Formats: sequence, C-alpha cells, structure tokens
Amino acid sequence: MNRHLAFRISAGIFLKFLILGCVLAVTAVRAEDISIPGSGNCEFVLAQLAKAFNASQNRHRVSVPPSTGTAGALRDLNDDKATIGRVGRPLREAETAKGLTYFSMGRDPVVFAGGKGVSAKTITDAQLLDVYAGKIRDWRELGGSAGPIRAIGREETDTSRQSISRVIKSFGTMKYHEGVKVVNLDPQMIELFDRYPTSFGFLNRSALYAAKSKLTLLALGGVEPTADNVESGRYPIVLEFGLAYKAITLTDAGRQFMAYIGSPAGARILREYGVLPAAPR
Amino acid sequence: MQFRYGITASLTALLVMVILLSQGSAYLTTSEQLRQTVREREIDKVKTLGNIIEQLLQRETTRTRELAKLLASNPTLATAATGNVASREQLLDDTLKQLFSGRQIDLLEITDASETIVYRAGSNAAVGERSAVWGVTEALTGASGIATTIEAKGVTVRAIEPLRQNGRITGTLMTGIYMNSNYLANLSRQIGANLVLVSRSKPVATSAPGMLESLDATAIREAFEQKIPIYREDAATRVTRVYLPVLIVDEGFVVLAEIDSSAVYKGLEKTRQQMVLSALAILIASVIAGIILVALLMQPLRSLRQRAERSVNKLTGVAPTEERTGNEVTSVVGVLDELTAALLTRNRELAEAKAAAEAASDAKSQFLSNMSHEIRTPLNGVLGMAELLQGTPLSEEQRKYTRAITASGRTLHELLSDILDLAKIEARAVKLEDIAFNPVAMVTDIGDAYRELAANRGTLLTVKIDPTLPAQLAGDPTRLRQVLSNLAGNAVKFTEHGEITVGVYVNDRRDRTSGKLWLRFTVRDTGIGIDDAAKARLFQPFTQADSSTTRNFGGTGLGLVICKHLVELMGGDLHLESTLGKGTSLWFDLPFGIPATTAAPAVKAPQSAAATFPVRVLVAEDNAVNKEVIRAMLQRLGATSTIVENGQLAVEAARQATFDLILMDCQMPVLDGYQAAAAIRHDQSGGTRVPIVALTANALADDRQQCLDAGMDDYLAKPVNLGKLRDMLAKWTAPQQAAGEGASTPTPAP
Repeated sequence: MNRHLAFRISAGIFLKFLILGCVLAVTAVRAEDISIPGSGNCEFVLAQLAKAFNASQNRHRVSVPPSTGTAGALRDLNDDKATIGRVGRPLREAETAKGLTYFSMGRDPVVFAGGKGVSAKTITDAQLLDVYAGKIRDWRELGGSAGPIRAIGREETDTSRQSISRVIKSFGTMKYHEGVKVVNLDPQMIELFDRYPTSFGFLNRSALYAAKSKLTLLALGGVEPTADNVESGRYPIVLEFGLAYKAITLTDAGRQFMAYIGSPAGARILREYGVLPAAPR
Repeated sequence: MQFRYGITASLTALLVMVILLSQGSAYLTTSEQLRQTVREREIDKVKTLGNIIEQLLQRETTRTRELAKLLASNPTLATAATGNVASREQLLDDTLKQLFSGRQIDLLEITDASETIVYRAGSNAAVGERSAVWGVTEALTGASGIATTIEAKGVTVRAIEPLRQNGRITGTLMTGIYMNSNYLANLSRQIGANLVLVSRSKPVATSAPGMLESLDATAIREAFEQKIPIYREDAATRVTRVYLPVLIVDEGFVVLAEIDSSAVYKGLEKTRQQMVLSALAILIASVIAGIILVALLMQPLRSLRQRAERSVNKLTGVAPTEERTGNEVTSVVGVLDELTAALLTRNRELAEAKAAAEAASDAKSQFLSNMSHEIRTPLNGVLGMAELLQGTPLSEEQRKYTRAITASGRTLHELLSDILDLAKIEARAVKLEDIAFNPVAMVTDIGDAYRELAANRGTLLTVKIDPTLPAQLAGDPTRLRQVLSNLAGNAVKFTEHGEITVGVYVNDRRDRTSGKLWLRFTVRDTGIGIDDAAKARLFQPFTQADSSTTRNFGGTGLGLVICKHLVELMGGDLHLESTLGKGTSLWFDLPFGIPATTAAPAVKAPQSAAATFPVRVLVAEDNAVNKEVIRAMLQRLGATSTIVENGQLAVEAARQATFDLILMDCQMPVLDGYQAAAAIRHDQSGGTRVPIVALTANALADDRQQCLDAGMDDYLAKPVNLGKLRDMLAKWTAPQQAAGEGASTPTPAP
C-alpha cells in the first residue's frame, strides 16, 4: 500500500514537471522581439511606452527605431517587413482596404516652438504665415529679443503641417520663402532646433521631448498648448497618431503591447508627455 | 483504304500545345525572374551609388568644415576682419591666393562682428551687405555652424566659424563649396552615373543638361514624401534611374542618379535568345518523341482495325475499300460494324447451311432407313425361304445351291449392316451402352463361334483369358463383341492351316486411378500377313490389302474401319502388326468400369434346335413372301400362327382371340405396327398382357426404342432365322413351352 502511494506521488510530481516543461518550452518558443518602424510624431512617446512595457514583462521586447515616416511604416507593413508600424495619422480608406487596421494612441497638439534663444511667447495665425513667407525675419517683430528667425518647414504631406492647415487653411499650400529650410523628417527638425537657438518650427509636442536643448513653446493666438486646452478644444491644432497592423500577421507581442498602451499605465505615460489618450476600447 | 489519323493528330496537337504552353510558361517565368534579377542588380548598383553620393557629400561637408576651422584659427584673418578695407583686401588676397589656386574651396566670406560682409571671394554677395546665411549670427555667439543654401545654379554648403582675436570674437569666416553642375559632372565621372540635384522646388544642378528633360516629377514627389529611393526604368533606352532623397546638411534634396543598363539588358536579351533556342530544341525533340509515343499508343488500335479488316476480307472475300471518315476509333468502329454485319451474314448462311445439312442428313437417314427396310424385307424372304428349304429333303446339288443362296444373303446382310454402321459412325450417331457384362463369357463365346470355321480351314483357334479377369465389368458388350467378332472373322478368313489366338488380359500398366480397369484384347494369326504399303490403306473405307484380297477372300473392306472407329469411341486405339506371309497381330486396350454389384448377369442357355413351342402366335405382316416365311418357321417351331396383313386387322384379331405372342411388323398399310401395338395395349389395360415382339425390317438404332415406346416388349430385326425366332419364343412363351424337349427355361425380361 505504501509503495503504491509512493508511486502515485512520484508519478504526480513527474507529470507536473512535464507539464511545466512543456509550458516553458511553448512560452520560450513564443517569446518575440518586435520593432515598430514609422512616424516621428509618436516616436518619442512610443519609445517611452516600449521602455515601460519591456520593464513590465520579460517575454517580449519592443523597440522603436529612428523615424522613417508614416509612409515608411505603411511600406514596411505592406511588404511584410514589419507586423506593426507607427503612423502620424489615422489610416485612409485606401489603406484599410489593403487589410490594415488602425490603433489610435491619442491626440497630441502640434505646437510652434523656438530654439533655446527665443524669448517670444506667442504668435498669431497671420504672423505664422508671414514668417514662412519671409515677411517677418526677426524675433523682435514677434515680441522677442533680436535675432534672425531661422524658420524650419516641412513638405505639404507632412502630418504636422496638414494638422495646421486644417485650422490655418492657407498654410498647407503656401510657398515658403527661400530662406526657410525644409527638412524631411521630424528628427531633422529637432536637430535644427538644437543647432539654431533662434530657430522656429512646428511639431507635435511629445516629439519635442527628444530635443537636447530647452525649447520655447509659443502660444497660438494667446492659447497655450496645454493638455487642458487641447482637451477642451481651445487649442485647435492637434494630430492623432497611433499604430497600424495587419490582423492576419499581428503577433502576440503586438497584441500585448497595444493592450499595454490602452491600459491605465499606458495612458498615464501618454498624459505625462502631453498626449490625450484615445478613449478606452 | 485511306487511313484517317484524327486521334493521332489530336493527341499530337494536344501534346504540342501542352509542350508549347509549358515551355512558354517556363520561358516567361524564367525570363521574368532573370529580368527581376537584372533589375534588382541594377537597383543595387544605383543604391550603392546613392550611398557613395551621400558619403561624398558628407566628406565634402566635413572637408569644408575642417578648412573653415583651419582658416579661422589664422590670426591674420581675424585681424583682417577688423582692419580697414584697403589693407584687408590686400592682406586676404595674399593669404588666400594659394588656397584658391588649389581649388580646395569655391568661396570664402568674412564678416565683421555686425555680420557685415567685409571680404568675399567666389561669392556673389556684395561687400558691405549684411550676411543672411544661417550660422553667421550663431557663429558670432561662438558656435560653429554649417548650412546649405540653394543658389540659382546649385547648392552651396557653407561652414561658418567665429574669428577670434585675443579671445574676442571679431567676426566670422565662411568657407563653401558649390555643388553645381560642374561639381556633379566631376562626381558623375567618378562614379560612372549621370546626376541631377533637385530641390523641393526645382532642379538645381545636373551633370548632363539633357537629363533635365527626362525628370519624372511624380517620382521626385514620391521620393520627397516617402523618403525612400524611387526607381524607374526606361524600357526603350534601358536606362535605370533612382530618385534618392538626401539631406545635404540641413536641407532635403533628391539626387537623380542615372545609369546606363543597356549592356546588362543586352546580356539579358542574349540569355533570353539562348533560352528560346533551347526551348525550341526541347519543343522539337518533345514533339518528335510525342509523335512516336502517340504512334506506339495508337498501334494496338491500328492493329485491331487491320485485323478486323482482314476478318471482313476473310468472311466476305472483299477488301473494304471505301474511304472512311472520322478518326481511328470511328474507322475501327466502322470496320467492326462491317465485321459484325459480315458475321451476321455468315451466321445466317451457316444456319441455312446447317439447316440444309440437317435436311440432307435427315434425307440421308431416311434414305438409309428406307434402303435398310426395303433390302431387309426381301432379304428376309430370301434367307427365310433358303433356311426353310434346307430343312426339306434336298439332293446334294440342291443343298449346295441353297447354301449358296444363304451365304449370299448373309453377305448381303453383313454388307448392309456394315454400311449402316459406317453411316452411323460418320454421323457421330453411335451411342454406347454402359451395362454390366461378363468379359470371360463373351470372349469364350466368340472363340466358340469361330473355332469350327477355323477348323474347317485347318486352323487351330485358341482362346486365352487372364485368370485375374473380373467376372463382371461395365461397358458396351454389343460393340465389343462386334469388334472382336470382326477381328476373329478376319483372322479365320486370312489364315489357312495355321493358328489363331484370341486373348484378353488385364493391362496393369494403364492408369487405374480413374476407377477404370484396362483390358487388352488381342487377335493373332499366322495367316497371309500384310505388307507395309497396304498397312497404310488398311483403315480406309472400302480398302483391303490389295484388290486380289476381295477376289480371293471377299468382304467389303469396311470391317477394320468400323472396328477402329468403335475402339476409339470406347476410349482405345486399334494397333496392327503384320508381316507379309507370317501373320498378323491386332490388339487394343479399353477401359471398363467395375460395377458395384458382382452378381453375374443371367446367362441364357442356347435353345435346342429340336425345341418346339405349341403356342398361338398372331403375326401382322403385309409382305406376302414374308408371310409365308414366318408361317413356315412358326410351324416348324410347333407354333400355331394367325397371320393378318395390317395393324388394324391385328388389333381386331387380338380382341377376338387369345394369343400367346404377337409378332408385329412395323410398316404396314391401314394401321402401322406402332399404332396397332398401342391400341392392343390400350385394349388390354388391366387385363392379361400378351407379349408383342416387333418383327421388322426397321433395323436402325432408334427403331428398337421406338417399338418399345409404342408398347411392344421386344424387337426382332429382319432378316430373321429360325434360331432367333426360337430364342424369342423361348423368351416370351416359356410357360407354354412343351415339356421334355431338353431345353432350359428362359426367364422373360421384366
């Protein structure tokens, strides 16, 4: 009888170890490193989210490579080079028709900023147009200290510029003055912000956290781009960014990361960088 | 006949089509793969070029910055920035002359602390103007800078450094390089590709002026928006272009790099041509192999058609010559239809021929039957009368004549019997019995029958019987007796003053596993023998050893033929050994069944020639002579006869009087014997059954059975003699037979 009992206990232990081993083996197999390429708008805040997500669990690793733009994310998704990408705007119909799904992270104000040498506090719609038209070239004209305005612009298809043009209609199609430098990517804008203390440009606010120098955020028509003003709608220029993926190729790591972004912890991080999180799903 | 090869052509065409499709598909796929490979290789090449361009631009930028730093560290230049214009010009010209002569930089500008240009070389800016270049203001704060400026005919990369004098910033120094068309042309020569530098608003420089016309605005926009290289191929000119987005310091541009891929595509075309040639070779080889294969596959069908045509030809005697439409199968079907029609025609003809043959056979049988009947009827009269005549007092001469009449009649009778036997054998109408018989008694009887005849010719006939021979076997004793009698008769006929041995032995060497017992029957004589040439003819009908045989010994020559056939019918084979002048030996082996019961069959004792039968016999006979013969014979046997001339009278006589036996002829006027027997049996149903014995010239095989079927009890074929009639009377009238005659009592058949 005792021998029978000992056998049953031994068999039970063996079975438990066997099951545990199988579970660990399956878990090990399913562990995944994913890279989320794409837009520079959400690059900084997504990197913070990835950092927190990676710290919250040790099965999957999420990395956020340098910006290739929203176009780069869509290209990589269509080419199946990535299972999930970051986009600076909601997807268009033509893009969802190709099997892509959009995951909104939140809304971020597009702000007008100056380099560390800028002392001006606010700018109006008209002044903005004049700066990029080359009519206003010195910060004194905007109420700041003397210094040339190093205006930095973006192409017409840029998400930030399009966000501005939804409020200031003529901004989207205006012809920049030849003294305005037009960069291709958000990090290049940030680099010029750092390089030229009297620079002037625009970008969503969370992306500006990547700047090395202390930038000056200008109020638009006297309205500062605070979270409250954004949420209340008083600050009108915002962009929505998020993630895009193909449902058929989405992996467990991608699903878990998006779940984390939608979690209270994710929302807290977004708010920390001025992003108004998307409504709970 | 013209052959149609519809299926062969279709299969071949299908094969060719499949091969063409597969080869075409393979060609297109491989060609596309090759094109893709070439394209990817060309794209890799321009991608590499793009990287090289970026690296070169970066290197130029770095060199410019380093040069600016180097010059800014020169105190002379810092001093010059603060000096008067005249001395500054001279000083800077002398200082920078060597630098420009080495063409290391394209322009140089110096500003004072108020950003006013105080010196310029290679620049369009005017001395005394305030510099608008990004970085000048920043340099006055001590920061090094580098900036890109889009000019009218190119892009200028400027490195700006502060000028210090005794630690105090006195101005700025700016060095720059022009990335104009000359620069691109130089770069183009280095990397082997034509180049165009395009800003967001316009092309700013090109290594080849003609390239500006081929700019693709859409591709440029895509490159700016997508921030990725955009590739375009010109299929006509085999030129590959890449629109490469680059950042020159702080400004985004697109560099168009164009490479000539025609040499590569020529190689591709050559490879394609080789592929086409290979595909053609494979196609031709495959088609040939396919045609051979199809021909081999269709060969059985053609053979079938040819066979069918031969069959039609054989059946109809006419070769199918008409041209057929359709393919191989339908043509074969056509030939088979012809064959079927021919077979049906042939079957109909055969059926008609068979019917005709059967009719002929029936006619022949009827003829034989009639002939037999018509010969036997008078023969019965001849032999009967001769036998009766011999029973009367005759002179020696008269007795000699009557013996001659009897002998001639018997010969005629034998001839008739032999002809009928041969006809039956040829018609395969011989039916063998399988009944029990005593082989010992049979052989003994035959020996006894011929011993006296042999003795008359001075010959000793001996019978040898195997002592192990069973007392009873199953077989056809009638046919066996016929064969042995014939052989023994021949031996007697051809042996004079010699010896004859008739023997029977158990042949142990034959197979007994079938439950049969094999016996060997031999008849040996020391007679005249047969030469080798005659042996070959011996078993042919109507053939004897030589023509003199007939003259010397008589006979029809049918005996041995009939014996051979009968032995073969019974499962054996008749063998002959003979030496001319020394004698002949004939033997055959036959299988016999072994009956389960071993009771010996009843053996009839021969009736004494003196036995009489005081019985009343009704005779139905229409032939006047035969009436007299039967009347005389019955009278001689002690019987009383009532003779009527047809069946109807016989029936009436049987109703009116009581008879012990009725002898019934079969073919009679008014009412034949069969009908009369049936009527008598009908009248006597439930009463005394008078035996009826057929006495008829219908002596064929079926006649006996027909008589029995009509209600008769026995059968006696004409010609009849006293012995046979006596035996029949003894058989069917025994209870009335007179006592004290010394005859044994026969047992009527049940």
